[in-house]
Amino acid sequence: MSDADLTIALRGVVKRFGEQYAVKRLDLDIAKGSFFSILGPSGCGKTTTLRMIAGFEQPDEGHILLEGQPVEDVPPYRRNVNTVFQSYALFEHLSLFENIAFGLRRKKVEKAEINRRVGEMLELVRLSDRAKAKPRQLSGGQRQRVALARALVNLPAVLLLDEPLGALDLQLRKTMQLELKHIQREVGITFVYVTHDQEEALTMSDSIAVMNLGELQQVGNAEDVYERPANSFVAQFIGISNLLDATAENGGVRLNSGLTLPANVPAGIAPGSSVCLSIRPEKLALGTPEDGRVSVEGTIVESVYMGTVTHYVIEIAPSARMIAVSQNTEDASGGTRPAVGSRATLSWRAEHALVLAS
Amino acid sequence: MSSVAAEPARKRRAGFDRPRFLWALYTAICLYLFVPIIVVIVYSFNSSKSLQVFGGFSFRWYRTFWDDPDIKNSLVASFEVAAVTMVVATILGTLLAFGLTRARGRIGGSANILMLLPLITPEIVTAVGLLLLFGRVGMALSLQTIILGHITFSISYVTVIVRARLSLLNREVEEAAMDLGATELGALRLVTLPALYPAIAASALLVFVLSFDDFVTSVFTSGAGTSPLPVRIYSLLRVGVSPEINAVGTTMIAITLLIGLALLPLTLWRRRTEPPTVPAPE
Amino acid sequence: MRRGLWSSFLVPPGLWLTAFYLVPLGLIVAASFGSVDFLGRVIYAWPFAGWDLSNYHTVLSSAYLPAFFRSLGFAVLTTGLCLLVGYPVAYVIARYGGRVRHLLVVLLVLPWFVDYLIRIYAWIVLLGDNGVVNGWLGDLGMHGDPPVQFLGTWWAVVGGLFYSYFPFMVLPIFAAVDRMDSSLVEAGKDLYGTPWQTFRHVTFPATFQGVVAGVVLVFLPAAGDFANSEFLGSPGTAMIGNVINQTFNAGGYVPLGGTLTVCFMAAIAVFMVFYLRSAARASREGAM
Repeated sequence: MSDADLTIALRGVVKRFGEQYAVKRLDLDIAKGSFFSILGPSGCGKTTTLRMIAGFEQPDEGHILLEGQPVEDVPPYRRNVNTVFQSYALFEHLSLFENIAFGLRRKKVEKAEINRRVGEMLELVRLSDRAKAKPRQLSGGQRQRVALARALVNLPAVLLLDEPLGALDLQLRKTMQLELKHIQREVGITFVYVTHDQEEALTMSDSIAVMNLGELQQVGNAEDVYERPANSFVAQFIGISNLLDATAENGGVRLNSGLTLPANVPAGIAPGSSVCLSIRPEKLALGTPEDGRVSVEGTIVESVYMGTVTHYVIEIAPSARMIAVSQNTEDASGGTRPAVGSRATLSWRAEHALVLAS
Repeated sequence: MSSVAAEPARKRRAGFDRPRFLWALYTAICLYLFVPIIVVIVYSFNSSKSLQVFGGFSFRWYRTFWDDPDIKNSLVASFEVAAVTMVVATILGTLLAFGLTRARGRIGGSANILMLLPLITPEIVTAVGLLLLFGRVGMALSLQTIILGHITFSISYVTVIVRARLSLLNREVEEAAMDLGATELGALRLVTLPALYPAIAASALLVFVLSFDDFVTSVFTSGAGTSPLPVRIYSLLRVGVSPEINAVGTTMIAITLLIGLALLPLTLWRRRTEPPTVPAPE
Repeated sequence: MRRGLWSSFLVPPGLWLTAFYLVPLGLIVAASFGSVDFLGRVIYAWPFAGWDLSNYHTVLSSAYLPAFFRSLGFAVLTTGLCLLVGYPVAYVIARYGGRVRHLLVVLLVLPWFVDYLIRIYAWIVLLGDNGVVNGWLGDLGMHGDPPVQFLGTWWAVVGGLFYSYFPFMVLPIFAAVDRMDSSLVEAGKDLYGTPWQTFRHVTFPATFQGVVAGVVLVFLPAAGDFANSEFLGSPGTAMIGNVINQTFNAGGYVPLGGTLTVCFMAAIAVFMVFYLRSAARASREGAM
């Protein structure tokens, strides 16, 4: 991708707070018009990265390029970037209208134009009838929409969102996720969305960057990071995965218990090195294996009924347990589900077992 | 106090916890605090000179007070000094509050101590120091020197009050203003200061009252000319008790009360501009 | 963000306080070691002349010591009285005042807004030889000549000091009790049985910082007070403030006044340091 297609590029960005590294050598490319999420646990550096793009923090090393131009030394009020804060940060002493108009007024936009654009925004977030209200009179979800409108009305090159849905209840969050996605598609602005909720990231994003401890773990779309995690961190952070410690061998792995399993060992991993075997629970089938699948036998130690699916915990070797997920397509009242304590065979296709560097 | 509702019987049994005694104490103390002042007010309208006999209602002491040019000038001087002190101390104190809350580095710690020291130094010490300072630099004692002294002890009051409010403000709101195109100073002006108005106003009025009523610093730094009212009263008191002072005192009480009443609408304004702790329902 | 901006805010007030608070303090110390020239102007110890300890000898001799002890004594008595009365009052308002508790505090503090001297004067009106109370006693036929001497006694001075500084004790304790979680006290009652034990082990420790603030904010001004003693007391109750006042405003020997001030500061310095450290600790814990 040429630099012109990139709205944002981070090159070798490092950020320290005292002795601590918040971000270690980050390289990131964010394509124009995409919904890009930065995903990771607390303290992974995602918010710091966002704040550096916004201009509230300066990187200690490296460059931040906005539409091809380096902006590390440009203050936030001169960047073509707007932020939706986690706390919404609304101006409590101003009305909704004035909140949204704030950025336009700073740019000395004409009155008629301000009225038109703010009006459009209010309609987009469905708050046209509350234009004169003060923020304190609104609910959490409404305040969130005002924060969004206030940032969007300026039509920035990039919109930054710092865990904007964190304070909302589950139902509202699901609704807002779809709404945000829809708005992004409609307006066409690049969204950079920071969250710790992997389900949220998978639902909304075109691309996801997974971070941990200040380092980028993987970048890709939802399918990439889910089906082809780059390392064990990504594998267990996104969705559930079975992770078995093992040693690499030619053509497979040897578990610590001694059990050997065939698997595709990537070229970069030498035999004898420590690895992690990662298999998603839904890729495991219970029962008589079909041809061409790797199989292993074990004992069912737990069975958890979850309505649409049942989780089975199967012990295939001492201190090696795997979770398998099986859809409850059959009515189980007749006791057709495997019972705890019984022997079972787990099988999977070889390509679904990933050998990851430990 | 939800836990109280669950155990009413137990509360009534506990011995010491009978607020009735404490409320009686509160009332007694309130009376004790108010009675002397009420006496002064009452006797200011006494037609007779005595403090023991109430002759009848009269304004004579107010007339004496008003006809006395010294006292009138002192009253005006007190206002002037208090007004100037209020403006300068509020500005300096607010600057200091911002500096202490926001500046990074170790300088904040020493600045903090420097700010706290005048609050706990007995006024006589600071007054003596100021007297020596003006003598050393050859500045004659006058209303100007009084103003300089008043500002010095007032700054810290402003800083403490403004800083308390400032530290509660959400920094992200200021960042949001900058994100939307306001410079650092612009964000201050448009967003932070409006949120601080109640604290700034309250501390400004406090400084006015402190300066208007101030005695120790004024007595040490006032010169031969017109001096503020408390210094004038001090001279009168040293000569002897006079019923005129009742009138002067009552006037000062009235002035201070009016200023106190001015405070009330500002505390109410604060509620309107605070984010709610419990948001409205969806 | 421009870091320099906020630090620059510190400069104007910092300069002001340095010039008008710190430098004067330095001058007091310098004067205390100095003397006067033939015109009566003060010669400061450094760097203009040598250090002369004669003033200190004078002060620490027997003539001035009683005033020091009296100041400390009055201040201790006043602080104790304020604490004894102020704590229960602050407690009842904060815990049982409900929604009007702030108004109740304001009511208590309102008299303080009356001018300091007028407040002292009010007690002269009430308790003076020709004052209101003596008048009532006379009407009731309860005294003969001479009238009852309320003023001129040491407890009149203490009463005046109490009257002057009482709000400074109430306000911090009120804030501390108000901030305290009332369920702590309920839990304490379950644990400790008697109210006194609950107070000792739960309530008092939780409000300790407020008590410290109140004690310091009453003790320090009371120790340096002189108007109460001058008008409600007698020459026999003179506090160190009176001596200092006379020295500077009644044509006394200025360097000696400096020495007296320095010694006074030294005597109360312990309390000032104590307060500063607990304030620094409190602000680190976010209490301020």
